[in-house]
Amino acid sequence: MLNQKPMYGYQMIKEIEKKSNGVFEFKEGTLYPILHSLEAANMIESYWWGSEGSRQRKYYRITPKGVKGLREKQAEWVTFRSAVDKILTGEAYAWR
Amino acid sequence: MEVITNEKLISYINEICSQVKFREVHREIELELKTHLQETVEEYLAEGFSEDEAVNKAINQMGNADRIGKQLNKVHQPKPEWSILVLSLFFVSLGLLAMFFIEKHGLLGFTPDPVPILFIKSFIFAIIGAAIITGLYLFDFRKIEPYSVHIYWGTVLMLVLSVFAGQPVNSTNYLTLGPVSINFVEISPLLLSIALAGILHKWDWDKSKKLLQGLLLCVMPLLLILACSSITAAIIYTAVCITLLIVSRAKPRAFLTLTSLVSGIIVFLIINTPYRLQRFMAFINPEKDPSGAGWLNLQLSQLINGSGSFGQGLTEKPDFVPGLHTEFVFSYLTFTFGWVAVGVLIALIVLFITRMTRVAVMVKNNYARLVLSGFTAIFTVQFIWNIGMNLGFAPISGVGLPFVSYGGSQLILNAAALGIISSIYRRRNIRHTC
Repeated sequence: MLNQKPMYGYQMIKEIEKKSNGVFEFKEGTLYPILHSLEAANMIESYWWGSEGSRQRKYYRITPKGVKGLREKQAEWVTFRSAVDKILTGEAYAWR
Repeated sequence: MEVITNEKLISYINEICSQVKFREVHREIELELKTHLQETVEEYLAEGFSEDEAVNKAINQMGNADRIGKQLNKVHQPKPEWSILVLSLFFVSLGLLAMFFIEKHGLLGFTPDPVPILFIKSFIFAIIGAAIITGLYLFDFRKIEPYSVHIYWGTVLMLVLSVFAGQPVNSTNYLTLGPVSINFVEISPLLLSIALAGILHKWDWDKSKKLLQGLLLCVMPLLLILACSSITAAIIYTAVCITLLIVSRAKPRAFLTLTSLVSGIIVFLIINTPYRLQRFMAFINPEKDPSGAGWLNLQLSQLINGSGSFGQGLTEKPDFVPGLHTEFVFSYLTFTFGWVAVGVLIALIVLFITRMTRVAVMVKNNYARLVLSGFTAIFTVQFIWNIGMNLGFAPISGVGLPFVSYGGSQLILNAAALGIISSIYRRRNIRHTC
């Protein structure tokens, strides 16, 4: 999500809820340890934004290193998914 | 919009933070979680729930405070920058080894004691250094920032005292304070680096007045250092200034002015002081006066050329060269261990500098970045100059090889720099300045 635009925590939760039609539901608090560890690994970076006195939000955006990491993970996921697909469709034939 | 004051929410956030042992990140976590919870609560309030219900729902959605706190604690566990510390420990050990054998062979230029006094002294200083590193590592270095101006003027004052009240020792003015006499000029680049980092990190270089003011702040201590007749400290300090100007995004015109000004002054001083000119000429052409000014240069090159690929070993005793345990320890190491080992040593030094630069790039707080850049400049100039003069590429001066050369005050100074670097690295993800 962050490779499209910088976001803050609450916004990410809302976005995940919307995009997954409520399939992904998790405790919101667990998002922050993940964000902080990604930041410690330099995959994303954060900055505070918001006018003085009113609400300050901590936005996160992806770094070049994060983009690279994301591509690798995506490639991994594609291989994994196609493997699972193959097994599942194979099983489907077997069952028939 | 008001920041929430609901007691339940606050105690929930405090419960999370209580799990995070690294207290200095608490403020940022607190603020981030607060805004999140506030938004959830507001949403429920808009849906018509009572405040109490809304708060309960928001907390429930967040999840178990204990678990979140533990996970956050894991992420924020401070890890020291081991590679820099291990490398410097290696340099120090190498120095101790060299001290021991230089002393054993009686290469100090004075009658050796039966006990290896230099070795023992170095060892004690190394232990003091380790204590200083640990102390500074635990101390939040950013707390110093508000005092930058004080440090600056304090240093300038001490330099003025060194100029007018200092006693010359080996041509540099030492400041005598009661029973101890210290080479304050030697310490000044480090102190000024810390002070100027704090002053310049928010400097507006675009305004002409500010530009002039900034340059003046840089040049004034420089003139005082030169007045104490330490060209070495002056060049190290200049490197610090130029680095700080570049990292604080001054216009190229600013640091070009500074560079040309400084090189002008230094050339003038070299030409105007007979012994410096002599040394410089000896560097350019040592053969011209082999028994006088060029003697040291020739002796060093003989020492280094006699080493071979694997060195003469620790049992071999090289010809006498003054300062073998201080400025020319690199030549001794080359003679003893040979070119291959020295190649490895240089590679480790390059690694040391690269690691420091990497931390400077990575750190989020701009003030910390400037401090680190200044320190990196100090170490880089010292390493390059010392190795250069040992190999005959740079004029001979009083620059030691950091961590390796004998010298208690220098070792303590370097340890302090390492401690500050470690302190900054530990807090690299914290942006707020105290």
